[in-house]
Amino acid sequence: MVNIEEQSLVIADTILIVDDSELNRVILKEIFKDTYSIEEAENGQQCLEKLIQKKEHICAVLLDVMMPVMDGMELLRRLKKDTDILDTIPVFLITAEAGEQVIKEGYQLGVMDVIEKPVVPYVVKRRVDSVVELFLSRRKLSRLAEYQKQELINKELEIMDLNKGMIEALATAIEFRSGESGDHVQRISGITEYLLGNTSIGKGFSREDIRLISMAAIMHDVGKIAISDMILNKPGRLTAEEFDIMKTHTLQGAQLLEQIPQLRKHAVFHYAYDIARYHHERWNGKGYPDGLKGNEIPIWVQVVSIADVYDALVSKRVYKSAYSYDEARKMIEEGQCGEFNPKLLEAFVKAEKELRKLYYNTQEKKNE
Amino acid sequence: MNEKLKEQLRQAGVDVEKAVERFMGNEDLYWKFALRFLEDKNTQMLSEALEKQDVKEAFAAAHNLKGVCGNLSFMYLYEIAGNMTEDLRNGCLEKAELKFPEFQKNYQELMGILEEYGK
Repeated sequence: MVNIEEQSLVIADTILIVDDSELNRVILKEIFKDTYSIEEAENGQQCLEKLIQKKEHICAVLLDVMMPVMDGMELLRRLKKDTDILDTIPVFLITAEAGEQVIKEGYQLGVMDVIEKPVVPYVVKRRVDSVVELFLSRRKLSRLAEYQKQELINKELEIMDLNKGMIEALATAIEFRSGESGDHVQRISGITEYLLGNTSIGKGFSREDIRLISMAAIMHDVGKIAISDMILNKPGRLTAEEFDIMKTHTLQGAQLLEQIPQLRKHAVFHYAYDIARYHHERWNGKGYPDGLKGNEIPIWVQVVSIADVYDALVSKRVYKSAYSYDEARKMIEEGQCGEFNPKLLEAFVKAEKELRKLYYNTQEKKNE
Repeated sequence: MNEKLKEQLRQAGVDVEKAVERFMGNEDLYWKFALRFLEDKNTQMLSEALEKQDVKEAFAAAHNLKGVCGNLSFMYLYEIAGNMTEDLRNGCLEKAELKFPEFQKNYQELMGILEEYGK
């Protein structure tokens, strides 16, 4: 996160006085020493050196014209040609030669003002102070704009995080009823994300799409909230009627999601709806609730389906014990848990060893 | 700076009020730099340059004198030095030479006061 305090620590509060005459420098110094720090230079060359050294601190340059080594106009030409310092630091020509030619060239080269010598203090002070204030405001405004932009981005990220958190909380709470932990939900999301992000099946999906789909995957079983405990947690086989009721969790899930106004508006919605409704459809059309076939089933749903099946196999459930990773993979490959898109299957089998890692982490956590 | 000194300076063409104002009311600082005028070499340089008929050097000296006298509000000297500077800028050494005696007269008067009160 951007720290505005750090940025404004370097306050530009120094005036650089450039004149080969000590008397001139003393007079100018006397005018400004109460409200600014003062740096001095005797010619254009020294001025350049000071500017390089103290750029962040300098808020104005008072520049004489007639100086040895490098005169004021030469310095200005250099500054204009080689730097953009004149955009952020105002330069004032303080000169006895305030003739038309000098003034014209001065303005062309970018000076803010041409002030005549011998100086009248309150005139110089006013002219310099008001421009310095203007430049400092500009600097502050542009820093503020940068800061606010960054703040907006940070807030947006925070909101996205919060949304995801809420969705996870909701899904976890619902899964909790069937004895699942939040890990299950995370794993489905993780497997989905991995397959889409690291295999051929995810071709054409942007990072943002993948992020949304893995978020949507979290909500695949929210419809279970509408299924009674007795069925959800029955240790044995479900009867035909019980199974019919269980199957409705797909439609109920989709309907539930439809009822949430904030979700309807969100980019994740259409993924979430599809996934909730269709994650039990199968490639050969023998799934439920609508009997979709082949690529009628959106790819994001297919991925979540296979993730769901794999996770169910390798986890202990009320109605079964856990299979090993190899067994699970084999069963899926052989179509023992329904038919899948061959391309998806291929990608899954290749990636399966990596997917196991999602389980190691949670096991470790349990051992802590 | 006592009142007597200030009066004498005014008589010699010094705009004391304006000068002190330029030094932000800091009389001591003004007086310190006024006394430094005793060591200023530009008048001598101008004199020599005019003798040598060196326009460039004369111009530089006159220009410097104009600056210093302006800052210290030595008004008579400022005016003459200013006119000489313009003459010399245009290469008119003779015109400048004509003005120099007047400058010197005033210069001596002022130096006298500075020496007397500077002890």
